[in-house]
Amino acid sequence: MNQNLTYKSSTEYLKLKKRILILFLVWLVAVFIFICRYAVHSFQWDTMPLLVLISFSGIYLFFYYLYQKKQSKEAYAIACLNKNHGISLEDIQTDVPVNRFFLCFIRGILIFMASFGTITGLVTAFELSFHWVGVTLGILIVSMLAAFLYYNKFSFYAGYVAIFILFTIFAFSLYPYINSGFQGFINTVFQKYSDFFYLSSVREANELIANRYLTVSITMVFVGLMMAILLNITISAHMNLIETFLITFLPLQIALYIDRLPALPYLAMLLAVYITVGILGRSGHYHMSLNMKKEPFFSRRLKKQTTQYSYQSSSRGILMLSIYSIAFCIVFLLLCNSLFFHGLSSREISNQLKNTTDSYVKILVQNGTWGFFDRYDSTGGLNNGRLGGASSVNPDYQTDLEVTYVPYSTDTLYLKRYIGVHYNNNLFAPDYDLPQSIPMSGSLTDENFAKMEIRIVDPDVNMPHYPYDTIHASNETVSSNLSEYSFMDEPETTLPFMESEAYTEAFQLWNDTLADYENAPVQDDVWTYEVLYAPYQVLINYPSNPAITDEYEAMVYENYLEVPEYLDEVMEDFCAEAGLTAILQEADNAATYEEQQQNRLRIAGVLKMYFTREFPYTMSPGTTPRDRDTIEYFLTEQRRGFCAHFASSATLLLRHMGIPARYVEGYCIQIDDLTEAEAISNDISGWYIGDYALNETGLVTVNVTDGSSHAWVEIYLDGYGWIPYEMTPPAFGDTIDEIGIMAIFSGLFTPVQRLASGANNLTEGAGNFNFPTFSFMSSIDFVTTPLLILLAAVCLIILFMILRRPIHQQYMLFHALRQKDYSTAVILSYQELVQKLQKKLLITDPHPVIRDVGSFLKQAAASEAQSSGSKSGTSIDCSFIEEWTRLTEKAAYSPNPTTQSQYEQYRSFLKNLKF
Amino acid sequence: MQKTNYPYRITYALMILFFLFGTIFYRQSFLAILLILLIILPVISITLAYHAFERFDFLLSAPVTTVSMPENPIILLTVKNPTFFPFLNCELSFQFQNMYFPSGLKNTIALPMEARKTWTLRFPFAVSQPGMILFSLDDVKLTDFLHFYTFHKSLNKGLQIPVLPREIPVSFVPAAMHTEAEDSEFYDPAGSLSTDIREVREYIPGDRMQDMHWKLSARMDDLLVKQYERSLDDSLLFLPELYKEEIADTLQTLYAVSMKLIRQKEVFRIALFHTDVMEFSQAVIHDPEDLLQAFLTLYYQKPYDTPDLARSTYQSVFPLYGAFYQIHGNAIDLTEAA
Repeated sequence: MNQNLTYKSSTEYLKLKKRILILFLVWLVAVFIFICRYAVHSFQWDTMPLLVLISFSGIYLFFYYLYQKKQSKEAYAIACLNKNHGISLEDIQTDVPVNRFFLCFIRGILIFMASFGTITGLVTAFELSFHWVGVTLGILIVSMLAAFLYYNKFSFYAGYVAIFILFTIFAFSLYPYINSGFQGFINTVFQKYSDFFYLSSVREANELIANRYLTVSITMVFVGLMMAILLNITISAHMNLIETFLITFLPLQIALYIDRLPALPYLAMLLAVYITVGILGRSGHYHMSLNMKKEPFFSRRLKKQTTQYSYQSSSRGILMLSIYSIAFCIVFLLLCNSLFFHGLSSREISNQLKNTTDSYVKILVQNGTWGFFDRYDSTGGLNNGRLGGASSVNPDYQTDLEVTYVPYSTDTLYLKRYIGVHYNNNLFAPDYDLPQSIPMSGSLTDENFAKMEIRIVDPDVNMPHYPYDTIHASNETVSSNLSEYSFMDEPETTLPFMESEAYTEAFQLWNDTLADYENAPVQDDVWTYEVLYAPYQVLINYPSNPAITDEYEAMVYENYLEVPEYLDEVMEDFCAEAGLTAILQEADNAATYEEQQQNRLRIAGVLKMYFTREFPYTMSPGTTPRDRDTIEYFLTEQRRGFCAHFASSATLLLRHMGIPARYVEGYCIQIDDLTEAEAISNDISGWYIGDYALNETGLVTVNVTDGSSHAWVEIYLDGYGWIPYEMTPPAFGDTIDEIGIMAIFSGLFTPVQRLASGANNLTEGAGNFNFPTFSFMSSIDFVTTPLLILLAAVCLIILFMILRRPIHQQYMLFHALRQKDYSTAVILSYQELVQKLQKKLLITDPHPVIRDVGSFLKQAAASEAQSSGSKSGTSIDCSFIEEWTRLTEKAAYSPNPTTQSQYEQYRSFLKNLKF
Repeated sequence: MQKTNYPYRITYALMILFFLFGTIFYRQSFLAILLILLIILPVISITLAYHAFERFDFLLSAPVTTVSMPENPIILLTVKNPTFFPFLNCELSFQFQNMYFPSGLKNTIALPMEARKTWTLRFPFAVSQPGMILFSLDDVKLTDFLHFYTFHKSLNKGLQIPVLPREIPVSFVPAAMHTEAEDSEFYDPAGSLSTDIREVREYIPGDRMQDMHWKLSARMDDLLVKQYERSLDDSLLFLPELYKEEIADTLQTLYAVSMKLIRQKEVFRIALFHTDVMEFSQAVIHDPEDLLQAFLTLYYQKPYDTPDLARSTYQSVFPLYGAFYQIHGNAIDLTEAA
């Protein structure tokens, strides 16, 4: 049959053309009006919305045309296909009409459950009271209003306008209540978070109206209105589980994150909505066209030569599923609540991901969203004396330095790069006019010398690093940039050792190295330099440093006791609070020079103890508010922080107490870092001269990451020089946070326990002890128990399904024998045999007659006898099968009952059958 | 197992992973609840679907078994879900076609199997060509609630409804009747009627006067007519051509002529060309029931692409037989024996 009609002459196309033409004319009129206005008044900004509207409507019209054309073509194609084959299917009809009112009502219930469950669950989780009846009715009404927007085309368009007006009136007339309720909720949330995380300070919003019961209730209805509109799109329009989940679950996270579980009814509501929406969304029977009059029972579309018809919406199905979902969720939650979740708490778990999230949450709670915007980049939280701008320490764990040296003691090896002298405006600034030389300190035995090769790998590290008591550095031969920051001063530092034989030997070695460097090509991207230094040991009884002159000491006292005036009061208060004032007064009575120096160390020790006791270490203290001084904020309000906070504050506090001190940044290599170091050689000749505290040592290369970056204090001891002093207390629970693919699992494999403010062994730059205990199972123990119960239940069900029939049969047999009903017993035995044969696929007929089974048994017996007879020559005897058949038929059909002897005979027959 | 299930399974697996991830790392009770729920649900979903699938029932029926154009056939499909669980992912595959114009097009219908409910779907067809309408319900698929598994079962249920052509006015007058009707003893267009009387019946307006049984009428005091035993070999013989391009018109013409002759109480024959074996059979038409049977036979024949194939075959197979009327398209041609 020929197709005489083309698409362009079809009624479908003509209809589309007419519709589009009308719309296009309307659009043209709008464009014309705009152009006229433009011609008269020239362009004005107030016409911008009109222009945008016209542009968007033009684009919308274009896409509308494309979509309609596609639909129209599809309809035409179906019509043609059917016409060409002499038959076409009209709209399929059914005796079950689509009940639009009922559908809207059920959707309204779903929207109500989702919005009410979320809002009320959230509010009750934070123990806020509200007017239950008012809120329930309010949210129910707005949910129904939203759902019934889809009742027909008029309600859809007019309803949205009405809801917008309602929303506006609601918002403007009750603004103070809504705002106060919201702020009240936020204040409660912050308070609970503060309690959970033991935060030092909590932001508090201003509540205009003090009646929180009233304001929270009104706010809940208002939020319910907004949520109902959103959920109406995700449920009524799309029936999309992910969208619904995101809208309802994310707000609930505010409570769940700090282990505040909403009451069971609200959780049941939400779970029921998730299940219903998930199932309906996948069924495709939730759709409800706005075009009520033209809506067929079944939609139709052509796809890959297959016409697909789909029933639009099943109100009864949706209702049943909703009811089942609710019932199931209630039972499930009751079971979960009673069986599984006692003692489930996020406090009991610690891992990198959780800790990182915690740190960000704390920033958000304490500093708001601005806390996320750190004011400068920092390496391990440090940035050349800048303070308070980094909210948290987020190292990248990439190697910054490769240090090759001979470890000589278990003490931390400090590599310093930056000395902060003058403090002002959150910056410990260096002073390059001052002599940067390092008069030798520590136990300067003239027998110990060591060489260290430092290779700067990270290009962001743009300053050289030196160990204490550096004598020579080859950096000037490597890069002129390094010398700019160099605080080396060879003549001064080498003076004490010039007469030493060991030094002469070392210096010869050094000269050889320099010669090597001169011949080596200079690398642009990597700075490598060697350092000759005197291994450092802290001893109380030490000789005075002859390199320290009176002029140098005068310079120290002039510059390194400087404290900004605006901090004097804070320092004074803090010293009194920490009990340092009294100790200082005692120290002033020190008679001897040694006592004075020892008192300096004693005061520093007391300060450190106070910090350890009162100032928890954290990697995420949050940034300092912009209008506050970091040290003042740290000592008065924040009272928690990382190394930079402790070192900087301690420096100023020591200065305040008359002890010359300075703020130092750099890296520290701890003894634990050596476990991951690369062993180069056991031969240390050429790298180390003298004694060392370790029993055995060798040449190693340590990869120093920014996780090892650190800030500490240098205290000046008269006549001796600067010694490093560790002011950072050990961290309790706060680990260095990193979200790497593998790093996030780290917490699961270490027995890190979260305590109140944390209690951990990991101290930044001052001791990192790893316990190799495997604790993954303990991390998921709360899941394993219910899963095991679940698995056991599934196994039992499967076992029951397998054994159900045999057990039932055996019971029936037992029952029949007890009643002496041998006919039934025979029949049951027969059924058992048939099932056995069917299971082995020896009989395919599902309901075989007894004779057929008998024939089959005869054949089987014959073939069995044949195979054995060929060997033994016996004849075939199938008489017992005849008797078996007769007995079975008698039991099945005869009015005469089977006797016990017949039944026993029957059973003996069965035993003879070999299958 | 359907390919369409894979995206759902992958999505579901990702959801489980997401919640497992959240549960382990954040240890939230609600996430743990959702995780366990996600693990339980597929088992429940598949078990319930399996339970219900075995119990679904589908029944095809037609209110009218034979349709004459311009009436349209209607087929009723009754579906039954005796279980307590509604399943909204049931899909039936069906085909419908006119056997003369096989389309091979597939159709699917997605319908909700509401719990403990029997409901009927009405398939109204619009036919534009006569022929045998074949409606077959091929198979049924049920996907569980979560789209994890699709159960599949062949139904192989079918229903056939013959659609007879529209009866159009036709001006066919057999050639012999036209030339000899006024003079002959009785009408004998293509041979002779037998002189044996088959029965005597009451007069019906339109009966020929020469068929009146005057003697018996006088005796019985009622007008009686002799019904002769017609020699079948001498009756009208129509040979419809099932040439594909003209088949609709051919059937329409044959039907119109046949109905006219039936109303005239003529007994005639239709030569039915069995295209698959290239053989002929004859249907003797006394009444509409005979005609329907003849059309049913015709409807099962396969149309051919060669014009006049039936005629040429008939002439070659039966060269000595008498004249017959070849019907092709709207034309009725008297064809003499070869």
